[in-house]
Amino acid sequence: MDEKKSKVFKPENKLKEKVGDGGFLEVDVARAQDVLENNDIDFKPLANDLLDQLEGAIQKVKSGEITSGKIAKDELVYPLLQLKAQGGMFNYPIITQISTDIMMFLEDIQRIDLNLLKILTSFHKSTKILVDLEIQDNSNPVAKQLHQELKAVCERYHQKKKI
Amino acid sequence: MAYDFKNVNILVVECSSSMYQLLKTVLNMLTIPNKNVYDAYTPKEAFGKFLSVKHDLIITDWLENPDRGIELTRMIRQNPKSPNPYVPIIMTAGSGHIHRVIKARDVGVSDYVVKPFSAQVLANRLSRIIEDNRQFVVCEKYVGPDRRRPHIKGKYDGPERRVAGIDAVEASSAQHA
Repeated sequence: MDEKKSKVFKPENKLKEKVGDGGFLEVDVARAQDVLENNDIDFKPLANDLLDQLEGAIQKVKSGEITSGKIAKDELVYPLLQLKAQGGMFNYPIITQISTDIMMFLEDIQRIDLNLLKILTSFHKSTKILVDLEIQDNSNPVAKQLHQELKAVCERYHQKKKI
Repeated sequence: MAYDFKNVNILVVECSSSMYQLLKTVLNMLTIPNKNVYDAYTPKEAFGKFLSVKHDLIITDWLENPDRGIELTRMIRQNPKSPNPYVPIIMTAGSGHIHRVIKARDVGVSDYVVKPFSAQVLANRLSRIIEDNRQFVVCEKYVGPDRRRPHIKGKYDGPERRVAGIDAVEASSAQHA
């Protein structure tokens, strides 16, 4: 298609036509938030699946089964991304917090090295403990310590690599 | 008076049934009837359902790497079989990293929400989508909402390169130089 023949137009907003005006009521938003905060969906099996995926990806990279840097990064990032997303949605904010620390620099990394794999292995072990013991937030001293230590390791790696 | 969703069908594309169930319940609390919310877990399944139901809104997760939510958005926007390439698409993801946001924007998503999110954030994004007044751009390399946000950067009053051609923009620039 010739770029000069491109179209810029305003399509019919069918969604707006159907829902009308008025927005959402505060009371409905509060009820929705209550569902998010008090849902009883068991996060443990979901978390364990994702942790198994992460462990598998670490092993594949370590063993040389995955040699492409991009594929390695994709395989490592995906379970972390989901743990970060789902932890907070299923009442494990601590999982979101520690996944965020790792994600902050993993997204910018071009090359996976052994030190990074060690950090990811520590993350895997720590998260597994939190999930197994059903530790959901930072109020638990074990969680607090694990979080602080992982954060410190991430910061050291971050500074060393100047990411 | 509030929005009335009784005639609105929403497709939720998620990575797990637990996440779908949670989102469906949250949408239900926001007055969207359960019967109007459909689930899918892969781009192929989602596109198949979209072909038959022709949903009014799609909420898709980033899905598995590499970028299957992006693949779905591309199918909806650019596949000749798509029943509505202009349907609003909200992408959700665990990362708000700039490269992901740009990738989602450049494939034509209407909005982007980072997980975990609050009900207020979801309601705000849904309202923004409903009230969206943006133009739509269809060209060789892009099909989707106009990526410029005039209310953020000020209204652009120069020539439209895609409509008038690059020559018009260059001529205008030379005139102002």
